[in-house]
Amino acid sequence: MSGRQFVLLTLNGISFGALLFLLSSGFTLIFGLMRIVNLAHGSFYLLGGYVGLTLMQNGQSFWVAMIGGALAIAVLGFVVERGLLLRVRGRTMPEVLLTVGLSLIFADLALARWGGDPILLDRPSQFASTVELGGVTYPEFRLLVLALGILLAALMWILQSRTRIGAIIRAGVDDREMVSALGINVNAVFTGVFVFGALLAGMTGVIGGVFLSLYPGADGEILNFALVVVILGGLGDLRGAIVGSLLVGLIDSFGRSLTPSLSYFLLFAPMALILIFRPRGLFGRATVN
Amino acid sequence: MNAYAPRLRKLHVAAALALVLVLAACSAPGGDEEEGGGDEGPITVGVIVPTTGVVAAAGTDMLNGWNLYWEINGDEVAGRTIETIHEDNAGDPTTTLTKARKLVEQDQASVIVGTLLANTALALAEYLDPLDDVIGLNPAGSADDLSQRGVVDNYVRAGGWQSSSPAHVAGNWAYEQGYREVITLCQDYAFGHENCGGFTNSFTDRGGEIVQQLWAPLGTPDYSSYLSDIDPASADAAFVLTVGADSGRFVKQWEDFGLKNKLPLIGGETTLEQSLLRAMGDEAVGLQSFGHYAEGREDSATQEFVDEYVEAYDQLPSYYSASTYTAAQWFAETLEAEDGDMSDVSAFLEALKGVQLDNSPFGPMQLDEYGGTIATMYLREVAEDEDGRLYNKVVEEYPETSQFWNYDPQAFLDQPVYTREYLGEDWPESCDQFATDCPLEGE
Amino acid sequence: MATQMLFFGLFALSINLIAGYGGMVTLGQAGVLGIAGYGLGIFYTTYSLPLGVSALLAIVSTIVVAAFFGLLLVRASGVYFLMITLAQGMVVWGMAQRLTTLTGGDNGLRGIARPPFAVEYWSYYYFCLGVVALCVFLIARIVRSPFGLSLKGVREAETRMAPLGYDVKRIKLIAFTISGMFAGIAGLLLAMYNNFFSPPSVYVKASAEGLLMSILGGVGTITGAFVGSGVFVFVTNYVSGYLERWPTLLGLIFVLTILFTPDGVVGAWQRLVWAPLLRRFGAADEAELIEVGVGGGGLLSDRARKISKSEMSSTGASTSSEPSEPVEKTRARS
Repeated sequence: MSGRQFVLLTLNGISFGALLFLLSSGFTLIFGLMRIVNLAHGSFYLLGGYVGLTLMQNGQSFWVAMIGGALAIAVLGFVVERGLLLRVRGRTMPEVLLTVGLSLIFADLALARWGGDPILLDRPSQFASTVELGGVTYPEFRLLVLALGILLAALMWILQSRTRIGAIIRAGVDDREMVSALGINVNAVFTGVFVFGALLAGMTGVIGGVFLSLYPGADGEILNFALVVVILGGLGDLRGAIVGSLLVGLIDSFGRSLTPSLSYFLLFAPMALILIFRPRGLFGRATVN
Repeated sequence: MNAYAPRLRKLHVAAALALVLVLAACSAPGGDEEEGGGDEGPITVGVIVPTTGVVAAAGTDMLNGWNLYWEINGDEVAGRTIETIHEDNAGDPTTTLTKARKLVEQDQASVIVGTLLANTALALAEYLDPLDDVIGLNPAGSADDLSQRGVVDNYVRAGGWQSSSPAHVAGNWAYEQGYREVITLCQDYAFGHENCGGFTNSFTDRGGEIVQQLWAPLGTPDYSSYLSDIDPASADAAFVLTVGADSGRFVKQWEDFGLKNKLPLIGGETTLEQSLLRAMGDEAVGLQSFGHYAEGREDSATQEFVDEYVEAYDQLPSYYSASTYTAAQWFAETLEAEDGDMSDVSAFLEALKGVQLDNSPFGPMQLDEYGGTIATMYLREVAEDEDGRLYNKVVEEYPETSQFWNYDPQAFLDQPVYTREYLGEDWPESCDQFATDCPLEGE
Repeated sequence: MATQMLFFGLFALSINLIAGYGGMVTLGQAGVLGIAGYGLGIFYTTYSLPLGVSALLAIVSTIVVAAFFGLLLVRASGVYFLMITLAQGMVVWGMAQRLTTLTGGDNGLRGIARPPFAVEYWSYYYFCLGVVALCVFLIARIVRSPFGLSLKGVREAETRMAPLGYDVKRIKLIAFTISGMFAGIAGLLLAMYNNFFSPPSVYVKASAEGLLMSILGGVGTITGAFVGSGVFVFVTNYVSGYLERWPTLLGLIFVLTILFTPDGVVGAWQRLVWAPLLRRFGAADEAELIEVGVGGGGLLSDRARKISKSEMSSTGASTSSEPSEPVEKTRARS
């Protein structure tokens, strides 16, 4: 492998990893706090992307579309959490299964509204060209995604370790009953976290629309990746999401190039191994039900 | 516990059993003596295409194409009304079979049109095989073997094609362009194998060399890892076959990574297909590909079809749209020739296979003795029309291309179907295996 | 269509066995089904073994694989169990797709025949009916056996079973293997029904659909599996001809079931129709068993019944919804 190729594959790996982080961070947060495996997270992603598409078709810029997608899905997340998940609060399986049912509905409705043609969103004009990096010509947009990923990671880290709400969330992840016993409105926190996760998913959808394109099935595909990320990294842990995303991004990038026919296994093999030997993931908590 | 309970339970069980039997009766197959289409009354046609699922866009195009034909020409042929029932198979083989059964047994369909993905087409073929009163039209399921090593008599490529056909032409053309070393990149499944196989086979016959063989799994999010592998200095051109969403990503990245201006690209049928061009931009303009359809073909048959399609659906028609439109045309012509009589199914099949269509959107089309399509292949180039829409214009035509290219059919069939392991690099070995135009230089 | 309801029902029942009776929800059952389906296809078409022998070998392979998967699963539960089964199913799918020379890849395996006495539509239906009826009978026996009861015990209170002398891991392993065998039989019936087998039948979507059928009908009941498959097959094959948005309908039915009657159609039937009927005819104690949810209650609804509805809606998760969790957590920590 040439040095040039190595640089390219690495850059691809970490930029894809950044995209995955943008999506999985919300996913893992929702699980960590609420113990809900939100299998509709992929649908949130896709719908967010489609909302962004509609905005862009109406003349809006990428940035507006991104914010629009984020907000739209945040609202959707709110409705889903308050209207549906609340009713099955506390029962893990119904929560998970409910999200499965929702993902079916969302996928079909998206097909009805936006059709089946795969659509690649346009890049923002400010980041539409390429740069020379390490002997390689690399698209600016991907570097933007990388930057966004790093930014979000930093933001969430600060939030988690330096703010009151972060403390509440961390406490809630460890011991829900205690937190409510301390008089904090757990329901509000739950809703907030879910909405935040949905917001991130929606935003990532628009970015993903540029990076990967939008089409029926993209929800399932990205969800697969997100699942691998959080299983590797550990459900509920921010560090896990970061490390997991990087790992998956790099494995995918190098794997596809070096062993295309096995690239599939390369992802599921580490996941399976972790599940067998260290089910809580690299950074997960010890207390799991 | 009360004495009544066991009795109630028995009642419960009996009711369940009764329900089972009633259900069975309800979904029973319909009338036993079915004379196929008969010779009078409406003809029921079942169209099985994926209108949900990953290939929903293509499936919808297929449905549109079929419907458009009857809208323009009226749904009556030789005194018989064509009644279409559409069923969605969601791209799944089991669903395809269920829908096919339902259409044939309950709706009394005497004609089935469909389907798209190879595994669904093969499943449908399997189902149709033993039925002697149903005719299947296969305009889009391009799996080579359906007209080669796994022919099903009553599943006809009416308006259809074989995956490797345009690729054979491409390989030969590449050599004629002066390319001697080519990189191939195809999707890693049957359709991709058949495409890369076709190209590799004919290209290597002339003496060309495939210097790099890349395989991308379907659904590759990021072609940059493959593109990083491609060094423009190492080859004269690249033959690339991508499908669906992958095409959009690939073409964009081809430009992004600077390869568009450094390495000539030879695309396969679905790499730069209209259904995908709709969502592409400048990155696609100027790129060439080989296919059996070109929406820019300047023949009235194609242009009229395109104009009508645009008027009805506000988009340019893809090959999926053209395939079912042509199937309808094919069927209508046969029905007309047979005076609307479908009661002798085998005679009708003969007539169907004997059709020589001159004015389809694809150009002239007919079938060979194996049921494979003999049609024109096109070298196409992406251009922009006055409305800003991207389309494929014709650069060159290769009429009467057989599914066997220039090979002797029997010799070709003796070889296995194209797979990842067999791409025809070392075959043929002698001129005996060619039917015409042997390019091998005294071996 | 009815034939499909039968073998999909068997598939859902196999899921029921571990999810409903055992409390282990799986998203990888289609992978297990796939081993049998592909096994049959490979032994029969590639190796040209007689149909009966191929079927037998296929089932044996399935049992072996299911046991292997089960071994990997014994220490897991809940969401982690779910994830591992998901991974397992997807590995099988990945192999089905990639090992083209063996499995035909995306094109699948053609030419899988039916038993010579069951080739016609009707005869095949009766064949399936017979096979499925036999399986149901066996499963019913298993469920009512001491093993079945210990399985339910594992579902209800896993941590309490070990001190009582039950080898929880072994119970789970056996349950998973048995369930795999029945999923395999369903796979054989599916392969012979289509005369064909290909990767989509093994994809996670198929596993999810099986789970959907299981829950729709009533996880934890035997009849539930068939009710669920009945509804599912009906919507997918019949309704889809009339309603383009049928997946939305299916999703809606599923969501509504989870929200309002988590023990499925059969559970609702038992509570709303059967129990009052039993009372009416004087079998009060049996009716009470249903209402309290000890009988075929299942994973989803037990806790619901332990809490009154008013408690659920007012304070959300904080107070009463997980009475046993803090207790179990303490145990886990110590």
